[in-house]
Amino acid sequence: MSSRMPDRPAAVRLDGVRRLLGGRVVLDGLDLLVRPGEFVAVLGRSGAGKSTLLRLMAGLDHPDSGTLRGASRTAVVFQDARLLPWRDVATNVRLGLPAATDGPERVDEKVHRALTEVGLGDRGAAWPRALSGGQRQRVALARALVGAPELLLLDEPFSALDAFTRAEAHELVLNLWRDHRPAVVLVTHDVNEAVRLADRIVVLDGGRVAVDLPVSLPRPREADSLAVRTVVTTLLDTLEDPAGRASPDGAAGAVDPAAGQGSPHQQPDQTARWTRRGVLAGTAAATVGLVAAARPEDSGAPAPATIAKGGSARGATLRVAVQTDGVRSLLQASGQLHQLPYRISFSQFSFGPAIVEALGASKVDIGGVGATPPIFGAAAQTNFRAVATIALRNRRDSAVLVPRNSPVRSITDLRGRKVSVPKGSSAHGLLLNALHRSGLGPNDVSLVFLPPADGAAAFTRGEVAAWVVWEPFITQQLQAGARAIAGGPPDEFGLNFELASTDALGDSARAAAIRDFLQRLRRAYVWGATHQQQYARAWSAESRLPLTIAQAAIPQRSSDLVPISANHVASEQRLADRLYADKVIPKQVRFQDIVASGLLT
Amino acid sequence: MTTENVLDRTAAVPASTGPTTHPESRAAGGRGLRSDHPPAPWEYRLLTPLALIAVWQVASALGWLPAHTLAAPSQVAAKVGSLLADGTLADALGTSLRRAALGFLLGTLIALAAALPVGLSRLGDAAIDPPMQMLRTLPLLGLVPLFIVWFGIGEWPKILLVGLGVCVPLYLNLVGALRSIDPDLYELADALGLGRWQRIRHVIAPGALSGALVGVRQALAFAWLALIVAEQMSATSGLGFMINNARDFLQTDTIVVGLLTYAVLGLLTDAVVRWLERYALRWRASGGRAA
Repeated sequence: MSSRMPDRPAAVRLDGVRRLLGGRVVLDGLDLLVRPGEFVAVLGRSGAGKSTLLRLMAGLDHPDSGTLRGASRTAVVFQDARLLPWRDVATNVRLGLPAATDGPERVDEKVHRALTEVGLGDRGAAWPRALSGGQRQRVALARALVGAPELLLLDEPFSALDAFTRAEAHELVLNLWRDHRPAVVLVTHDVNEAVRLADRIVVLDGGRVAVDLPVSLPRPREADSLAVRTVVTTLLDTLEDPAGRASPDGAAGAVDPAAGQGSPHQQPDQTARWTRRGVLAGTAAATVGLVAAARPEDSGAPAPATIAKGGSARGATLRVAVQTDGVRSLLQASGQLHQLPYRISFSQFSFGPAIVEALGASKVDIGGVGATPPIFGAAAQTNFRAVATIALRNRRDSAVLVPRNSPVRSITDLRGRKVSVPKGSSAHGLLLNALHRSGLGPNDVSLVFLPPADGAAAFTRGEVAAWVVWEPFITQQLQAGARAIAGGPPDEFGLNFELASTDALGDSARAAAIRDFLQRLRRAYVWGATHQQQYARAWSAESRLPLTIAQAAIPQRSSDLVPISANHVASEQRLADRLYADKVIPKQVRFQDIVASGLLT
Repeated sequence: MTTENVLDRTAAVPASTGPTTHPESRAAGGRGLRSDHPPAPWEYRLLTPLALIAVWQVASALGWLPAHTLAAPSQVAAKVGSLLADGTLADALGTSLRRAALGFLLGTLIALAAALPVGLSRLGDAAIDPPMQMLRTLPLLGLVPLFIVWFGIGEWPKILLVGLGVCVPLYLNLVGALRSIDPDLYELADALGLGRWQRIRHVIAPGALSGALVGVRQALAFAWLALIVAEQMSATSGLGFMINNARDFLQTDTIVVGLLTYAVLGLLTDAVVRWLERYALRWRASGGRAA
């Protein structure tokens, strides 16, 4: 093939170029040489390979076989102006310059000159959307020419313009070509346009050059001049039957080759697909294996917690969990937080089970909860120990409340009704014991588990027949007219517990801090029993609880912090057995196992 | 994403065909039922909210709305005064704003770190998109107990929860925005021989910006929602705590104040993003000139 085209200087040169798209041969051994400064128009019906040829010359695509030697500086103008809508006109043109060869002033000068050449010197600051279609195409021309290309590729750039604008654009392109002398390849389906503009017209058919016709008419060429019309007629005849090779199955050629070009991801071949499936299956099998192997271990009875001895609390931070029960205010108001040799950080929880959860995860070190949460906690995990009992003086922690006008007089009347209780709370334990005492089981009532806040809403809206809860909610509801139908002995004995995480107990500094903290807490409770007004004011200020309610609730909360006695353990064990018998907790709990004694003496 | 755009009058102007006549100019002469009416004067938009407040106040005064169901507007206003006076509201607001801001920052970083590889590479798409799609279906509330176990009860789980709430809508919109960039513009970038940085700067970033900003608006709404959930986790400060604490004792006036504060914050942040949108997408307004 190269014998047909001797080595001459070329803006672009294709030898035997073959390109398949979607299994169809689009270019089939195409030879073409465009000389520097030459204006070539490429004609052909849809699917003849015009756009593919242009994309190859622009470096946007690569041949399957054959060689293509192109110019080092190439620029393309597409059918649509293809400006970046979010960049002003000047920036769009600037992107046509090769990166960082000039200083910024020189760049601005080049951009402005290019825009002036296309007649838009004053529109550099405009947004592309503010321009007409013809103006946008002129910006695209300026962008193409600003980099002084050796080869300018025009892909049907005038087809979207109206006839009048198109004629102007033709003039402009010719003028620019004359001034800059790049080689131009114009792809078009408009035979008139090709004849008016080009030195040479190439007709593609069947993926090859079917016609290569020099046009040596003088310029300007008027569209209606005889010479132009003659060439046009000749070409149209050729297009009807190019070189007598018009294929009868021309319909196949009507497929737009661009349709296959959009997706860069080719169909995966069969082997690759099976390899991938193999990898997938292997990964899945390995994952299942790993998950199956990692069965949870059942720890059985908890190992006795080690309590670190003899450390100093100085510099330690004790993370104390509190509820809305006012323990924090009690500590502060009683002055027990003065001159601490360690730091205390408080975090507030809405009820006991959340504290047990946090203790088990070693996110807090110590916190007080009711009788039931430690048992629930022990049934789930054992990373905490009960270190002291908070014994309520009136031996009543929770109460079963019914609304003012309720027909329910006793626990027995609750049969078949809805009862709201915070799950796993001391109130939950009280309810189960009370039901049992009245000859009922947990299934004889309809339990609605709600956190205290939601329980309050459900109770005041009358959605439940009874609400089992603790202070200050009891006082709040009693003042609003509710009645208590159960609470205190023999269903519960007002035992709360101070729990510490095993993690903190094993750390000498924090264990020392816990010992000290328990002493302070004990003194705070003693102070609280004798300074109820001050306690109430502090609690009300901390919790935003109305003062009257705080004042009414405080006398119910007088407590003493004492070591955990055998009686306390026995009471808790009965509760644990009740919870297990009622299938509330999944396994038996030995309360003695989660008691760490000796911290409070 | 598209629904958001439809709601936004400025964004709803079709991108490709600049309208030659404004709907207003045509609507002015037209009669009959139509949906492209020009907006009413803004004062008109205040009428219904004001009427609702008036009805609410009257209902409270007549005892139809007991205070434990919903506090009267006057009571709410008084509560705003007292909460402002004792510094409670400012404290809560400051804490919540800080959490929202940090969470938003974190969520944005996560969303960017996930969306860029997914949007820009096949392998990234295959590796990162499936877990992100799983993440989007997780209910935030269900994560709270796990977050306590994993991250404790300090600031981290709250910020992380907000971050998670933020990152999902942002991620989805970012990936959508990256995928919707016109492939012709990539071809242009190839033809111009743009380097990696120039492609990001001139094609990818501005092309994805509009979708990203829609994501930011959704994400901001999510940030405030996630914060209420996050501040239920053993918080001792912040707006969510203020609401929850009031809920424990049925103080509906404080609850309403907290909710109103959230609403105002939501409106303010949305207005900021709208302003940002108008500035960043000013090229959309046809006929304008660049600054």
